[in-house]
Amino acid sequence: MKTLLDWLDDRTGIRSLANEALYEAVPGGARWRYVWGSTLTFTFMIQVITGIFLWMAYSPSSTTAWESVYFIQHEMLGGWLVRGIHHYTAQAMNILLVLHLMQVIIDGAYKAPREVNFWFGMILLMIVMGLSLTGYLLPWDQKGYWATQVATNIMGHTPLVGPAIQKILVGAPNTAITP
Amino acid sequence: MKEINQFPPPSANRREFFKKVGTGFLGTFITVVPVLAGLAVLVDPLRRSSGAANGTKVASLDALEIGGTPMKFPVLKDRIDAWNKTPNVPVGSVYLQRVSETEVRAFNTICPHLGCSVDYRKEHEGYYCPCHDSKFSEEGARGDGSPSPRDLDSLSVEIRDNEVWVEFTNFKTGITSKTPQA
Repeated sequence: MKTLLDWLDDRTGIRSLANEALYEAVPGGARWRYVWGSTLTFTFMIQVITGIFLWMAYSPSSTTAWESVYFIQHEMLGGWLVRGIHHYTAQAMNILLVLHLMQVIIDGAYKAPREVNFWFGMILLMIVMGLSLTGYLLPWDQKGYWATQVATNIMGHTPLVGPAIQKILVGAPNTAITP
Repeated sequence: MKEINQFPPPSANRREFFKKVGTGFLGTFITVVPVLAGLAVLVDPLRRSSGAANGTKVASLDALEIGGTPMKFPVLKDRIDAWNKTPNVPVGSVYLQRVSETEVRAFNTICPHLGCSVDYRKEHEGYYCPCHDSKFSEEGARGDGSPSPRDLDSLSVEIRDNEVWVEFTNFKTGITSKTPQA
């Protein structure tokens, strides 16, 4: 076993990588309130893994989306569990996002020399919120459908560029994709 | 003859220059072309329009009782959705109310606030949007405290040979004026 690990370490440097990830010294000492970024990484990985499995059985179209989600939920072995984990982790992520942002602001972690970190955080925040918005629609149920109708209509109210943004996002001139 | 010991050698310098220009050009080209092509595809929906409204037969006049409560009917049309053409499918719905022998009132069921679908509620004697509690009277007038910026969108109705034909149009939501969607 050790020989195998030595070989792997020689080829990849995995030990120092793992060491860095697990035992990184935090200036001023580690604090529990620093965990939120890591929890977000963890939940993101959960979403990627469960998302890939759901993706294998999901069928994206207005006539098959709801049916395929029903099939995953009620017919497939363990489907309810994978979908449940994905569903609740998605919601947890939004809460963790707020906690993380609050920690960053309260501790002043957006200040020099960490501005670029903060910008990246803002971009990631928007990506996660975009994923939440689009993921909500995937089951093509009443709640998701009408919530998306409302959200895309709100987008359309942005001065000047609103209607164009809405049209690009909906992908059609007409918002009335009949339920 | 030029001095060979000159540094940097002029020919090498020129080669270096062309190499840089070539790399820069090639690099820019292979980055810009796919990005622009992708953006063009992304904004393609802006070129599409929903087409002009035209009359659609929605119901037979006999289905509507004079002075009865409004009833909801689907509007069936051919839907052209990107590469698919689906004939005779619901593209929206209308509420119809027969006010008199010859007069029928028609409303698009889409709430002018943010695009949800209104319901007729007998207990309110009017329409109600479940998303943000907009209320409208049977005449479509906006009720007090409704977030909707305008009254329900009425549609013009024509009665031809005992059939109710409606000029079905969707309007832009969230604004005070009744403007058809582009």
